[in-house]
Amino acid sequence: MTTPIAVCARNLSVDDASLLKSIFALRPERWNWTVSAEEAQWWVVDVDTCKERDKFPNSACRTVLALATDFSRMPYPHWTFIAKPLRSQRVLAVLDHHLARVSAREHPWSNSEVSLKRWPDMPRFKASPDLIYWCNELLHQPIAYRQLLATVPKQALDAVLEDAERHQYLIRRPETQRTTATAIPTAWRRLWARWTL
Amino acid sequence: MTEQPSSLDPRLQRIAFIGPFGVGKSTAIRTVSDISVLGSEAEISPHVLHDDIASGKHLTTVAFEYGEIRTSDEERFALFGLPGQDRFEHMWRMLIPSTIGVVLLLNSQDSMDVCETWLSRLADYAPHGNLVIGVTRLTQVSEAALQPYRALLTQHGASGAAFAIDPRKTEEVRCAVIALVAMHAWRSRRAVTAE
Repeated sequence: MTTPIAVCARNLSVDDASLLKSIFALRPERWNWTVSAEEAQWWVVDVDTCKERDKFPNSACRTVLALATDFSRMPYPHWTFIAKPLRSQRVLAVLDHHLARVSAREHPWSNSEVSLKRWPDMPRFKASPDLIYWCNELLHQPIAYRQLLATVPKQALDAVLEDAERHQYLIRRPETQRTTATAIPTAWRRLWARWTL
Repeated sequence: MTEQPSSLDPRLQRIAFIGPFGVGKSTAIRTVSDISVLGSEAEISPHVLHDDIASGKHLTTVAFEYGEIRTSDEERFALFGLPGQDRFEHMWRMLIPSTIGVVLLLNSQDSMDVCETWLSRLADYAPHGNLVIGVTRLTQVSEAALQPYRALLTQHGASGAAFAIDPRKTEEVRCAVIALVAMHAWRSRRAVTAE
């Protein structure tokens, strides 16, 4: 289950807020709509009804979607302009862009295939049996990061890959279509099930 | 000709624990075994091993120890602890070729020559190459501490792993066992593909 993204949309009209929520809901991410600007990672601001720029300190470290009738009303260059009246295609395009950027920033290998030159020191990572299995696979073939994510917890996988990158035993290359992660043999699943570390 | 029980009974997979005297083989097996470990220990002669008596170890394995991990009523992993002394080499010859992998426990306080010697001995008996070196008694677990063991593995052309392991910690010994199982699964799959 992914962590919800907190969104604050305080000064929007009821219609715009409803429309935005329905458009955001089209995405697979989970959204937590909050009134607390401090807690939110994303802000949606109606620039036309917003009088004071001071209401938005620290906006530089957040993703801000600015709704406005005219681009010239944008108060900050790093805010993302969305023209009013809202159109779903435009909002979805903006969401795609920002989410891809966040993903790439968080994990430089998210669009990569990865493999390992040697075994990590697995006991140090308190690794699950599945992760140990996949580390062995990565010694023999590159596998797309996103395929690995479907089989092992992200936090544990990232910890191993970050260590591998830091100690220079990670091989990373752009993702291709041809790699496939082989399923864990059923015969070993019983051991896995008994020993979920 | 060496007997190959694991090929006769695919539901029983064997794993060997080897290493120098006092490194923690018996402890490691007891840590993960689902049954009371069957052993054949004898008292250490005080005339021969004063240091070991002083360290509190009074027994040593003279044939082998046996533990089991039971994954179902029928499927089992047999864990063999084999003594390291040369005079028990016949035990290696009998058991190691029939295993799916070997955990070689080494004391970090020993010189790398010890590791070299054990890897050379093992090469004669473990053609499958599924090997985990478990380095014990590390005062500080770090990449640098494991690097010499990895270098020796590479020198010996072995594709095994080097882990920092405390034989008393269940999760850490399990990591070694699971890694061996994963190595074996991969080699088995490759063998089937090659056929």
